[in-house]
Amino acid sequence: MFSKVLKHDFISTGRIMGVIYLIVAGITAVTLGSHYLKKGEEMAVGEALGVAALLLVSMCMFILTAVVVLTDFHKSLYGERGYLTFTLPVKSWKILLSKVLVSTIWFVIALAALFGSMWVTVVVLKEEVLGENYDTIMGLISQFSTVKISSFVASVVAKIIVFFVEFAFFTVTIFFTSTLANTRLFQKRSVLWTIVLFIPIAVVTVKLAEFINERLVFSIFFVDDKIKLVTDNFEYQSLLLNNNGIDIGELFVYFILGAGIFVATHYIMSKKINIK
Amino acid sequence: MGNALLQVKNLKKSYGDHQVLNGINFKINPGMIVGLLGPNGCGKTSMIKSIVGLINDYEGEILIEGEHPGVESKKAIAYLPEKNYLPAWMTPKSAIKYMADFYENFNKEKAYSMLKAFDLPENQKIKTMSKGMQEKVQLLLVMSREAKLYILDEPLGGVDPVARDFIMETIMKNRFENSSILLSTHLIYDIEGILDRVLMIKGGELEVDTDVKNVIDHNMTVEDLFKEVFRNVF
Repeated sequence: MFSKVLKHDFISTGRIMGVIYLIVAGITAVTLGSHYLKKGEEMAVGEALGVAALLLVSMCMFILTAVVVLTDFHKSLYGERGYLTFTLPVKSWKILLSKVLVSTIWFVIALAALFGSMWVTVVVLKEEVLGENYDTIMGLISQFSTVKISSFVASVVAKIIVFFVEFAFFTVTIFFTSTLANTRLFQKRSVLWTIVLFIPIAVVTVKLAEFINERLVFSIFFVDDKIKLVTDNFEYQSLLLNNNGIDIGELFVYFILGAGIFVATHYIMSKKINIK
Repeated sequence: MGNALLQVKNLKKSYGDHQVLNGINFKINPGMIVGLLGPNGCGKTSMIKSIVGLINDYEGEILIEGEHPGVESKKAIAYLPEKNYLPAWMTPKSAIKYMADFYENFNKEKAYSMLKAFDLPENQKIKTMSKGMQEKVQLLLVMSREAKLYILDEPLGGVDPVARDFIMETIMKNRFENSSILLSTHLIYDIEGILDRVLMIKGGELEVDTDVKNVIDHNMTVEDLFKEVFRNVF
């Protein structure tokens, strides 16, 4: 049944997100098309406008994603659609978990789109526009060719996990705020309260995460194609500057805090909310 | 009264200081059609929302086939709320697919035959439909469930007398065999003939819980009884 909830959550949010990504794909096609079809060295108008539009849309992607997932969350749970959602034969925590997972995946896709648009920018602008920066970027990219493929894959997978956990933490914080804003005290102006309450809640949770992280050094670094576990703060600081690493401790803190916020959200959602 | 399908014990619910339900007790047996009657704001919808699992912070106990509201009770109950609960982007076709995905007891063939009988376009977005058409879509989704208990909250509210007859006919024709119906309304005249039992809520308390036969035995109609009970309310 959980897979069905996931499927319908993807359909519900995907209708809007799909349109946004179609626009991104369209702009990318126009930009790259103008680049490869141009005659002469001068930059084509299509290219310039395309790059500008692509970077703008990609940077706005996080805001657009946040708006779409929050709107869907609010409408499908606390709006009139809640009458349908909460009478489905599915445990309420699964409904919440599905929304967190689907939203997190949209955020990860938004990040991938941002990287993709940056790659298109590099391809199109090349050295004549990027100047020295182009060499730096190409130098960074060429470094990957010397790295073992297994280390590269491990590093990418690890980074995806990091982004996933951090976006999931962000998502669950937004959902907690929205849920709190739909309790009796704030329900009349729930949208406004969601915005107002989000800032202090996000600050408190992030500060709490930072507070714990400072006292917990437990990281993995990829050093010379090998995985190195680091628990010493001095070593951590020195490796942080030069190597590709993952702060497992930080990840763990975000995961535990996120799980706590999830449980709190579910409690309020299932015990304290009367749908309008 | 052996195996009650629905049992409500000492149900209390308040919104802040406002007590809307104050110690409600009743049972519904399989096959019964029960009218839940009372003026607007008397607590009918709060009680229904507690039974279907939309309200959880109540006092007392609700048992559906002996179990508290949860996944199993949601499989057994087909609920028609007052509100239009379908997403605006859905079409009747996608709504049927959605319900069939979640409810094993959803009869797709029945849903499509009702769609045809109601003369509803299967690919038109629900948001572009008239209110009457939207209500028909919701009704067919509920009545296509082979449920044990249909809970219908004001299905006759805001529709003309001809539409009321149509709705009642649809409900009676399409209910699953030996299922029970809990029907909330304040339009007693339209449902009086089909009811087995009536519950009347006044000021958050169950004022009347009786068989319709008893009412008739006292040379009264349900409407007469309603007027007598709620005479001082209006």
